[in-house]
Amino acid sequence: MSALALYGVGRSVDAPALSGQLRGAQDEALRPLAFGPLLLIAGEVESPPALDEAALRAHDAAVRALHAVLPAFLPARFGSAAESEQALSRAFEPLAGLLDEALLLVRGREQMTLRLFGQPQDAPASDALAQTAPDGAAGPGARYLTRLAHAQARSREVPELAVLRPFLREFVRAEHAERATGAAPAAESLLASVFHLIDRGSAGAYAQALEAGIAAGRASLGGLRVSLSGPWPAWSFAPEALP
Amino acid sequence: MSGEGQPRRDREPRAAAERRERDRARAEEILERADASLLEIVDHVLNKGVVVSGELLLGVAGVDLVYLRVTAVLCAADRLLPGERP
Repeated sequence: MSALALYGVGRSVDAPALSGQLRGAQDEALRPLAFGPLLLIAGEVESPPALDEAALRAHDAAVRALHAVLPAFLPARFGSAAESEQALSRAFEPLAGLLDEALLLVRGREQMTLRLFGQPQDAPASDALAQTAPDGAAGPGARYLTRLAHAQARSREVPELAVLRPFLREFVRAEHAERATGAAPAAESLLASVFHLIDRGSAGAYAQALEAGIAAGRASLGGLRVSLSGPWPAWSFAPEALP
Repeated sequence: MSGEGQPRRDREPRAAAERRERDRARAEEILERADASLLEIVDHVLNKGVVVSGELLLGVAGVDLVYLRVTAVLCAADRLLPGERP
């Protein structure tokens, strides 16, 4: 049974930028499907994608090619497929508004990914976290909600990055951060991932600014290690819509 | 022409280049370029991007839903057990 493998979402107004030469991960011709203001980009495949390195790299390459020609593009997660164009359209209907908004945000932009490694106890305290500390006089409901707020704030806070932010500020148009959990306290491990949306073409200047920030703030960074990759399509700026 | 006789506008780009080189050397101890390593690709391609539910077949045939469900469970565990360690 054939299926439509989904590669991402663009905007209908950008459809002319797509040439007929673009191919999918299985070398299938890519088909742009207009859906209101959205442009769903899919390819008809005969066989399912294998979950192996070659298939992941092929999906990444197809997505990168689309990102290169479409000014606003949100990549689709590997393995997303639909039985038909109608099924694809129905699946996207509830997300159309969110996707349109996200496409406006990523238009003309690309993503840089920072991974921060170190020992968890080295993480500097965050003012934002202190402000949401549970109040002993509050009732159980308020304490529960405060704990939830605390957990939510902690998952988005990356105080380790504070010393670098002034250097990166001029490049960063949006940020999404994820704090890693479950790290062993004694070993160096991933502390957080930070995804920055920057203007396309400014990745080199962003990397230089990061280097300058690290060189200047080396003493404050302690045992922190930073890994930088990019530019990427805006993988981390798609609306979260897990079932 | 060299040294102090050199026009100011020629010296500044050189100074900036030297500063960048110095920053790069210092930063190398802390910063590494991961580029498009498989690990980065896996995280982006399997863990990020547009996801829709409903009638989409998330993973056609052989890998049906398995990895997506694993991802969903891991995300849920992150949210539900923020202080827990394995």
